Amino acid sequence: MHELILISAGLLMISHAVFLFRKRVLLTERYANTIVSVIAAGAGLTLSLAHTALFEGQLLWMISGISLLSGCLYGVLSGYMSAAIAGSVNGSIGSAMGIMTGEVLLNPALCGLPTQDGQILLPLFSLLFFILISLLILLSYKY
Amino acid sequence: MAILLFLHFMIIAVFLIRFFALRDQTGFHLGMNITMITGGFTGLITGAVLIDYFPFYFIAMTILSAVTGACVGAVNGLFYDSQSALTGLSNGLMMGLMGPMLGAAGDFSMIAVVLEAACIILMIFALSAVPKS
Repeated sequence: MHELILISAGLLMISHAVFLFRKRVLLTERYANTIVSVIAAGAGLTLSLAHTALFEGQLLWMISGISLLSGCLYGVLSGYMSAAIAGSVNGSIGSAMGIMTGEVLLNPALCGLPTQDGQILLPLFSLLFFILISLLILLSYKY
Repeated sequence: MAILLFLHFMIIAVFLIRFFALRDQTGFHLGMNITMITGGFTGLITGAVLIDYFPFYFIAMTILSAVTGACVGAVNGLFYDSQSALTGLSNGLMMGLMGPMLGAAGDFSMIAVVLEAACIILMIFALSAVPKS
């Protein structure tokens, strides 16, 4: 299940990169800032939640670096340097938050909480949020 | 602590009505910042209070506080324009995910009171900055 979430988040990220590169002539600077930061935050959150559950807390530097570099890449593809900065900042924030939540889900005693069932719900919820954000962004390209 | 959550929603409602009345004079940059303040603090305070009451339902409370923060951020952002709504949605969800962890790691609930005070002070700053924007 976690593999599916990871793969679908990766596919969504690739399709976002293609759409951003195609529509780059339509973007104003503020619009590019907004959509690049939102995509980077959602992608970093979903990727790092699924990755932490899948690899059980190993190789965390890799997913953090991937989120940061993907935010920077989206900004470069959209053609504005300020969008690249906003994307990398938001990607690193989202991935840091996802790593924290994933570690607490793996070991709830870190926060003094009892063990819980249904740990798949939180990565699934973040994937749903990412799909919702993607739909909103794809709808907003028309205007 | 439940009275704090109730108080927070009352204060947010009063400020949202005030921001709705002033929405024509607000610049888009200030609007984006106001959206981030309301969504983020609602997610944080909701998570920090709810995890005190239901520590056995950590996952459900995390999802609930994230949805609450995202809804408040999106509703406040729709006063201004759709990009502010998108920013508020994303930021409210992020802060709502962080809230229950903050409330569970700091054992005492004084942190919710401090967050509430910071929220009120920042809202008053934002309200006083509207005529200049």
